[in-house]
Amino acid sequence: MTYRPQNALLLEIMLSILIFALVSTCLLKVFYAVHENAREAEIKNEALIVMKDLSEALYANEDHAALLIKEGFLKAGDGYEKEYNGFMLSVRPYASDTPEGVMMSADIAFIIGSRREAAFTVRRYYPGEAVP
Amino acid sequence: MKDSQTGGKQRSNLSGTFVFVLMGVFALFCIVMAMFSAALFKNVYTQAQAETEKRILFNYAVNAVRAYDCADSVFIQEKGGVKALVLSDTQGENVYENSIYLYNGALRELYLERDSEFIPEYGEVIAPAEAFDARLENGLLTLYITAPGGEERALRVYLRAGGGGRKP
Repeated sequence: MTYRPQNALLLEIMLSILIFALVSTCLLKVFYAVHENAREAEIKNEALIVMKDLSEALYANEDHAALLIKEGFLKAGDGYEKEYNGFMLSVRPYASDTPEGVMMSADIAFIIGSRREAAFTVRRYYPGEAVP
Repeated sequence: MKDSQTGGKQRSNLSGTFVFVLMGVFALFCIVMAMFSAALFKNVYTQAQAETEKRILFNYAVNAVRAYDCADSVFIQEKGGVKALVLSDTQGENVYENSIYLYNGALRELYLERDSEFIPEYGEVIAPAEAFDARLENGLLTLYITAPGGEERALRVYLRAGGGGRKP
């Protein structure tokens, strides 16, 4: 077997290309993951802003159902849902009657795909008339 | 003998050209990859930066209102020719006012003792913004903020304390 310097050079270049291709693939995967993370963070941030805003509106209004319909929510089961760009907001309002008044509550959650990402409950107590 | 020498020389030339082309392709890929990575990185960075500014813009005023939510401490007032959301704060006998307003393409904040001269230029920049307006009705404060890209948002804050705000 004869040693040819050109063959060795060719082998070296091909190895370099192979390594380069592998590293490029890894880099592209990393960049794609970063891009996806940034996009997801953007959606989550947007969802939290919308959730907070809606929770304040619910706190200020006694008639949750009317407010949600006015905000563009659609009835879904025992709650209401609205599609936003990249996420969905789900609200389930309910009232608990007590002899002293009414506790108005609403569970708010945002869903990305089929994943429930975050949820919290807004509660406001409306005292009734004094019981003699 | 002569033919085999010529054949060997031709093969050697071909191999040399192939190596040269391969190196060229490799260099080209390197350049494309570097440019592509730089563009992608810049894009991600710009997006993250814009998102951070938007988050500050849409959350700052809302959180400030929550922090100052006391009886008669949140109101809207025209100051120095600009409409400002005023958050007042009493310390001992002195009353201070933290005003949030739009001036020169940015949402600004200026903390002053009440009755001090209000000069909008002195306000500290919170984040760039296109428009800012506020409305207070029945304890529900609505802030209308437009981000630099034109994204408009109405953010509501219900003032819990003291029936919600007061008239200036």
